Amino acid sequence: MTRHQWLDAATSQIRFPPDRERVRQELEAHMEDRMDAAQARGMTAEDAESHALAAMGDPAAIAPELGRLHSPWLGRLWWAVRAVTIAALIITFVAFTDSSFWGNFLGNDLPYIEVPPEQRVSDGMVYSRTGLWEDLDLSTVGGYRFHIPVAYVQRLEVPGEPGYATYSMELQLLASTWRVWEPWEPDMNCISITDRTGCTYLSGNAPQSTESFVPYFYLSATHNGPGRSGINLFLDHMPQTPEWLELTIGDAILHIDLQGGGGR
Amino acid sequence: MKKTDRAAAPGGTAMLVLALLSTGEMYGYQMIEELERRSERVFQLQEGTLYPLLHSLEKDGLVTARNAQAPSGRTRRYYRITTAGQRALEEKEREWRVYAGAVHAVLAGCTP
Repeated sequence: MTRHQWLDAATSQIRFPPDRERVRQELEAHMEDRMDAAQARGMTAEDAESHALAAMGDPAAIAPELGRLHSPWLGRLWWAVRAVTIAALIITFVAFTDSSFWGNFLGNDLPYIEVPPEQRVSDGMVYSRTGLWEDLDLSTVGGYRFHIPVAYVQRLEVPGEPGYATYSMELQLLASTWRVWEPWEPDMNCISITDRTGCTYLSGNAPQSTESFVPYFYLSATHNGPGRSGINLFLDHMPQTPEWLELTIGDAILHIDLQGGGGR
Repeated sequence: MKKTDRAAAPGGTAMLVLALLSTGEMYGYQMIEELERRSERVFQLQEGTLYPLLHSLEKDGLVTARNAQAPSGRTRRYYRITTAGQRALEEKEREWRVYAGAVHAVLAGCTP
């Protein structure tokens, strides 16, 4: 057994690390004093260490008593605080790096947005998908991290009516925060949307004529949950596949860049 | 002479340590040396066991401790007896004298 092994064994049951270090230092100083005295009497360093170890006795005999004397509750508290801190750090890290975390962990009650096929014909009208985006990470606004799991744009054409085409878009927008007690709860009546062409979308709640083909949007679903909230948005009568959208929701202004990853 | 068992005397090593400290501030190794010197090597402890004893005296408020750097650069923990420690020592000493007197009386009675 070396001096360090002896010290490790003797202090092994002291749970509070600063206490353990202090006791270890004290015992080590004692052994060094003993070794110095032995070497002064002509012993080799190695013999002096063996001599000091023998004089100290069995570390297993004093370890339980040192453990009992040195604030076991403080030690347990120390480990509990460490465990909780590490768990909190891991959860925060995962929540901020993997935006699907809160959805998986806390549940996401928003209906899944089904991406239509690239082309389909329905009721004599031809739908072509002109944009598809998945896992778009947006900026963090007001402590809420915004994320779009899926969004798509499709073009609608009516055969026999050349020159007529209109675009619609569906997207899911999630806002997550580690402050589970403060979920994102914007005033859904205060949403405005514009795109690069300067087109402003009217809220679907506003009175409108279906014949006027004005760009408009509506919220097809909303969800407020601890740590995570979200909306499903539907935009209709878009003039083209948008390059970006700007959503003003409550206090948050969100810029959604749609140039990368889309266009399919 | 054989090493004296700590359990053999009332007050035991705690009394001896308090008695040493009543003469001044000391660190652990110094106490061992002083104990051996004063007892003419009758009392030789397993040195490791001194520390649980010192820490328990400290916990009970009978001694206080402070860290100080020795000239060698080594950090040593110096112990000093408190007023409560002095009182405890006097009590243990009294018990010890009663005990020693009784042993002495018995031995004296048995001597032919």
